[in-house]
Amino acid sequence: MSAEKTPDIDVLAHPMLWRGKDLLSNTGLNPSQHAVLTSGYAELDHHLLGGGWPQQGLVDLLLPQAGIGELRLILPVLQQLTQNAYVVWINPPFIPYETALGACGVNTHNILVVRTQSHEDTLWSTERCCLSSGCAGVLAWPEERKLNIKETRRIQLAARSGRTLALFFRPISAIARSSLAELRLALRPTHSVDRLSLDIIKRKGGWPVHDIELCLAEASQTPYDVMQSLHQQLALWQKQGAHAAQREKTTVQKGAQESTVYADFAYDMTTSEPDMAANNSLH
Amino acid sequence: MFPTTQHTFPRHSPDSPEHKWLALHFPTLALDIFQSQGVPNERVQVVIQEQRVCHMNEAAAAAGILPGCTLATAYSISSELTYFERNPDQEQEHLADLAQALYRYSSVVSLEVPDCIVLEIRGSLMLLGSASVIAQDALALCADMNHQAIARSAQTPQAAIALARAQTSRLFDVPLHVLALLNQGFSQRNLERLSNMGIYTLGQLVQLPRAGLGKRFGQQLTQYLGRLQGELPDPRQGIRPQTRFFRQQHLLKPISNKEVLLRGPMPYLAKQLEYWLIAHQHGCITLRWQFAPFKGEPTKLQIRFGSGKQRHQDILKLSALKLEQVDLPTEVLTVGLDMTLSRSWVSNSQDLFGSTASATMAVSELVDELSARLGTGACYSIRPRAQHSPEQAWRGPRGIPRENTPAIISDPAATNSRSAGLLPGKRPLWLFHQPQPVPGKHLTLLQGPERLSESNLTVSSSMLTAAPYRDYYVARHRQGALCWVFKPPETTPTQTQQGDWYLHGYFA
Repeated sequence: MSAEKTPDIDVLAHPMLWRGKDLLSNTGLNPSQHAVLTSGYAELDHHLLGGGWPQQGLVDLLLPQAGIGELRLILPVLQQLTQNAYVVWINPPFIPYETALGACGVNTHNILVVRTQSHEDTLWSTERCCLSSGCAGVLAWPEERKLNIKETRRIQLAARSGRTLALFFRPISAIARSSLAELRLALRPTHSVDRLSLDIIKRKGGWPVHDIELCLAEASQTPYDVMQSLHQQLALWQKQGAHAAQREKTTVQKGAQESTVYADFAYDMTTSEPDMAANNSLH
Repeated sequence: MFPTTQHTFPRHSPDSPEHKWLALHFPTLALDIFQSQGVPNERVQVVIQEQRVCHMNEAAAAAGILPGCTLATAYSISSELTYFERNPDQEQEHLADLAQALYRYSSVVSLEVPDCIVLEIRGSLMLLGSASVIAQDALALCADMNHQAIARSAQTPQAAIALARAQTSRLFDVPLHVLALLNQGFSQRNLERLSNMGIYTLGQLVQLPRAGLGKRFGQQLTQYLGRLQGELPDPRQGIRPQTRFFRQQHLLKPISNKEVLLRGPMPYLAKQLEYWLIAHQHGCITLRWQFAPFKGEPTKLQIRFGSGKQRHQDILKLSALKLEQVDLPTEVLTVGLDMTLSRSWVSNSQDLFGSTASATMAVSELVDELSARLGTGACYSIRPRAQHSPEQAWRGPRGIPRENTPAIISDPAATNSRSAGLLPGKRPLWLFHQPQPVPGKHLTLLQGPERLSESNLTVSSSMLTAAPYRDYYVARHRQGALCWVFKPPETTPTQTQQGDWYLHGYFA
């Protein structure tokens, strides 16, 4: 009988059993204390410790090439970070375009761009920004050839002590190189421009996860859906136009000519709609 | 000899609220001016005047050197002696600098040559507390500037000076030989006459009938006593605050190490600037360090702060960063600090829970640091500009431009509707500095065209300057990137050779 009872004991709850999660709680990284920023993607949050990006520490983003959706991936984080604090971009490969960032809800007044001449300056700037109390995030594009593991350690420590989220954008080839980042993600483009495939190479509190596919439109509008909103806007105008026309007809008896003008306008709008729908369906 | 009269001193406690004047006496001024030039105080040091020791430090006194002895005698007592020739001009300069720094406690700061400063503190009592609080603060300030001082307060300036020079708290005990009277032409012989009469202290002198004293020793004595006791007016000429801060420190030994500069003369000058700024209620915006060799042009170091700074630590931190970048003369003999621009001081208070304002303050310091090391243009913000041409529709003002921070965008829906309703089309998150030619066969068009046709739609690239308009498309590159491409009007044959399309940004 006693042999049958043994499976009832929860082996995993035995105090003598040491588990990896205990390490996290001992070093102050208890999941409940581990402040996170929601990534805006439920699928990704599900895999990250605490349910989001770490609010402090270094994160490596490994890309095969620029422009595959790396900024759309971090847009929700940028929106949160720039509300009350600054985010510094160190040596971005292109111009972070104010108009587009502002339209995506990022407070561009709280963005600073830093250009450096040498690798030492890049690291120094990154460390200084991480330690500054006014910075909540640092986005850096370090020189991959010169970056070594000690330097990632140093940035990681600076980011933790300054309570800053540091993001390193590195080429995909860095996947084979060690890094002391909290979290490492490898991004890959997919067949669809709205989707991004990513592998979690390293994370706290779990094993690597491969082939997570995120729909980038989940957190930000897709860049070519502008027709949809135009349709909505036009429909709104049509309604207003129709209402106004009706009011004109009922209240002003003499204004027959004006009401026809409104009617013409409404007619124009309706004719243009199928064209736009056709245009949209092409994509 | 003289019948006693009713002349007595009003009895006040040393910290009486009626005290209106504070005198600071610098007994070791002659020696202190050499301390600030980087000479360590532990060694035996004396100041000589006409080949006789007039001032000495504690180590010299402990060794047994007495004031008035010759230099040869002093050497025979201590062979490791360091001596300086007395420099009255420099003493007065230092006294004037001290007076400028003390200006923060009172609007009437008056010099009493050769070794005293008097402050009218009545107007500051309400603000700063009691006279003893002001005295303590002033002494700490003087100690920071490497000067030992003795502070005494009294009802009249002359009484305060007499107390400070005598280092006593009762006017009654003040010996006659320390009185300011001696500097004002009252002869040593008269003093001897008084001592022959058995009059050694001010208390004894004041009890004598004033008319008889005037007759025997001149009106000068009675007038002095009248001013001392507040019976006669004693208008004092206050210093004028300097409108410009410029200080130089001449070093006794040349310095060739930046570390030594950062530990010795630079903090001294930075502290002086801090006192000046506090006294003037200003914050420093730009300043210039000068490091001069014995001969030749000084090396100049310009430093700029994003917001006004007062603390010498802030000034030094940035100076140290900037100093790393420059080559100094091999042997620096003079260090100068010139404040070139200052602004009215605006005190900033940190928010308890953090906000954009406190973040801006912290980041402004960060920008100063980054600019000091990386160069002034290395750190910039991004701002929109009302231009149709995409590459001209943004600007990068240096640092954090001074402007009103907009209200925090709290409603994302409002932002989305703004972007959807007002923008003609989406713009890429990454914009290229220069459009790059891209082969058309690599692209799959997804949306477009959006025509941008403006007279200023020109870029520096020679191929595109003639383009009157551009048709922008959203396209997918075969490598996976979502691109913002345009097709200029096919007017020039070179474009077709290059591949028709130009890549201008990524919807990254």
